[in-house]
Amino acid sequence: MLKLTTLTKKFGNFTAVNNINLEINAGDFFGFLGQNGAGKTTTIKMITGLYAPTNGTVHIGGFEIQKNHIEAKRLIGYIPDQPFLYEKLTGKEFLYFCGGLYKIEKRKLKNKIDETIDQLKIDQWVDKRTEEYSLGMKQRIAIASALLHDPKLLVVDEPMVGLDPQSAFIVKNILKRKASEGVAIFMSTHSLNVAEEVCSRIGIIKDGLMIFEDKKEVVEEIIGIDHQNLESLFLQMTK
Amino acid sequence: MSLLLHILKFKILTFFKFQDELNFKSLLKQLSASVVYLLFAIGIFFFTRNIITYLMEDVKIGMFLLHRFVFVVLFIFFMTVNIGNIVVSYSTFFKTREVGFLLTLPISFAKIFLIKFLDNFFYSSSTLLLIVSAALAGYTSYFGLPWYFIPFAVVFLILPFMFIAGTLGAITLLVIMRFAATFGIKKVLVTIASVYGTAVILFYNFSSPVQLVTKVFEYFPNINNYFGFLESPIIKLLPNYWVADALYWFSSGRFIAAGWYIYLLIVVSILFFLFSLYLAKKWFYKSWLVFLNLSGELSVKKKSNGKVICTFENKSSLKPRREALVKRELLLFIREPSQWTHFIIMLFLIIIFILSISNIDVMILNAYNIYMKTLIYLIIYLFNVFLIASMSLRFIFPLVSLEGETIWKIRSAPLNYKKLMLTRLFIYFSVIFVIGQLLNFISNYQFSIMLTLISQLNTAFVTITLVSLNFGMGAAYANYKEKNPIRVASSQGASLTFLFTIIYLVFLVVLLFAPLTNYFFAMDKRSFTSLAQLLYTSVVLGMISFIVSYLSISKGVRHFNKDI
Repeated sequence: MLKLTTLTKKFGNFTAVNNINLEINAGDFFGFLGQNGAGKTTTIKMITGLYAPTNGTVHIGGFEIQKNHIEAKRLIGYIPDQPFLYEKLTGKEFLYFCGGLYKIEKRKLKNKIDETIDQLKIDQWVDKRTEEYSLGMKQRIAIASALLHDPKLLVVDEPMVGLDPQSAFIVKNILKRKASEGVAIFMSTHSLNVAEEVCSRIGIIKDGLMIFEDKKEVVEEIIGIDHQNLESLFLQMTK
Repeated sequence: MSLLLHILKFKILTFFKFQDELNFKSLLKQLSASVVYLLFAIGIFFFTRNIITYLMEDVKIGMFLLHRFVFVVLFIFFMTVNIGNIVVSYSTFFKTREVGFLLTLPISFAKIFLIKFLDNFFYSSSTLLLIVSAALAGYTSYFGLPWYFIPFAVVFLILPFMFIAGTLGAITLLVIMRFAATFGIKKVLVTIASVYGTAVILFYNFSSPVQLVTKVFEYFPNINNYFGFLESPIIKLLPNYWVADALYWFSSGRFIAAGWYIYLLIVVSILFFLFSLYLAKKWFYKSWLVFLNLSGELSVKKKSNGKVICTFENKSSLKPRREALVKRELLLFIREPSQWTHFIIMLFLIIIFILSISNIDVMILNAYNIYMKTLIYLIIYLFNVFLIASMSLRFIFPLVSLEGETIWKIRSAPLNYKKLMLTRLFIYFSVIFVIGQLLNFISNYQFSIMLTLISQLNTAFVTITLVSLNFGMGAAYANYKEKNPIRVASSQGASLTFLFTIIYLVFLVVLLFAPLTNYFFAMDKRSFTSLAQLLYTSVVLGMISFIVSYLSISKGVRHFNKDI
């Protein structure tokens, strides 16, 4: 579903992302870990078409994002770390707006919005203007908006930022269920316990280079040899 | 198409939602703003009608020269809309988070451009449209045209005219960004600035208003006739010429002749629009990437060469708090491209202004009557004041808002917030004050030393008034969430401040007109020129300045204590 080939991004002389190769299939839940400034967000921005790679390609469902951006973007649901919402619209209006952008038929969209509101338990404040929302509320609306068109690939940047424990629990479950339904998930996170709990594959990026990438079972094996948990493995690798 | 309409529907929905919760206070605020807009429109209506009456019946310039005056005013208007659109488009197209959001969705680049262009055009041009409509109503009333001429002219003359200026602005921006990738942003900006400067100089050379007045008056008293044959054919290619000429033919009752210009305006605006869409399809995304690369490269360069103009690490003779404040102000200003580029554009306009007034004394001496002399002097003086007003609106109004979301740090720090804000105000005021004094001196030194001194004093009062007004209104309408100073300077509060500024300019005209006319009368007859009247005017101006400044600053200070 997602294929990164020799993906590189340079800003002047500085290489933010260096020659990343990665393939994520339907049903994979990929956890993308790295320190601040390692290149996670730059990679995500190239996947979503916000940045053009200096070298290499991003393919989504067979479409190269730089050449067929509309076809590729139809398959993505993107949840940024700091979601943009129109402040004067209510959460529900924003969801109708986003559904319309994917040309979802009105009745189907209404059902889908009701279903998503129910899943994310946002019915109490979804009719308030988004300018009144906390960061966690905004994050849940962004998640809801990314699920409306049943994307084949979910690109998630720091999903747990600002979420209270109940909300974090709901979001984790939704993401897990989406993966089990065959959606490919690419999730960047600093929450190592969340990655350990939900991801089926783990990748670690350092200074723009992918220094580790393997299945969760392999990670667990490595942890079992001489580490207590993913956190101590991550700290050692990124030292 | 349906996707575009869908997005526009939600944009309109957002626009029409009230700024605040619907309560008595917010309703009253909206109502007061509407009343001010209405009063302002009425003021412009009477001002335009009186100016036309004065020019036609006192100065007796005739129909043709009146419309050539309109032609020059429309050129300034065109440049204002055009440059305004370039500057605001930079923020709207590239800096807003909405574009980043839309780029992650399955929407074509041309559609994103179109949405943002319309957003930008109507956002930045609505106040100007109100001014032109009110002025058009004054024009309609003077010439006894039917009332429906006003909406007709707005839709078929003014809107296409503004649309051409706006699309040309957007096209210029796309060209700047596209070529910046190949030649570097500095070279491209210098080239574009040179092109604009040359265009302004060529405009005045080809239209040569002073020569035209002399030539037309050779035909006195038949000065209402059409003298298009006296003009350069090149200026007939300009949209402001089409609008001015269309108005001439409408007011002369020759509608068919005017129809040709309407056709030209509509066709050219459509062609410009289609061309901008074509360029957007090709270059919008590339321009966005250039913007990102420019930001990225800049930050890397700063890290690598280590030569930063002012750092907090360097020793300073200033007290710690003042040093922190001054250095923060300087660093934020030079690292925000929309701040320094806009400042450079304004300095560039000032240079053009200085060049164009180099022969002001000759123009005034050659003017064929006293009213004309006063008019020329006042127009130049008002342009000077207008530059001060523009700088105040652009750099003083957003001052409080630009504290931004970091205001928590300032408000929770053990310092006097009022004192801090007034210190910031003083830094910007000093720069504007020096520019204002310099401009005034350059446009006055050819006259008597006393007139120059009085004028310097008046300009000082005007600068204090305008800076204080913008500061107070900026604090009253502070928006700490908006990071973009250009958006702050074109918000509802800023539009209201602009309207107050225009009212102040009209007041200045009323106050200065009689004493200046008397001064030029005395100068013309080579008799003793009494400056007493001009001095009394300065005293009145000083008193008004004190009252407005006191009220504005205290209003601003009161808002500092508001909950955030």
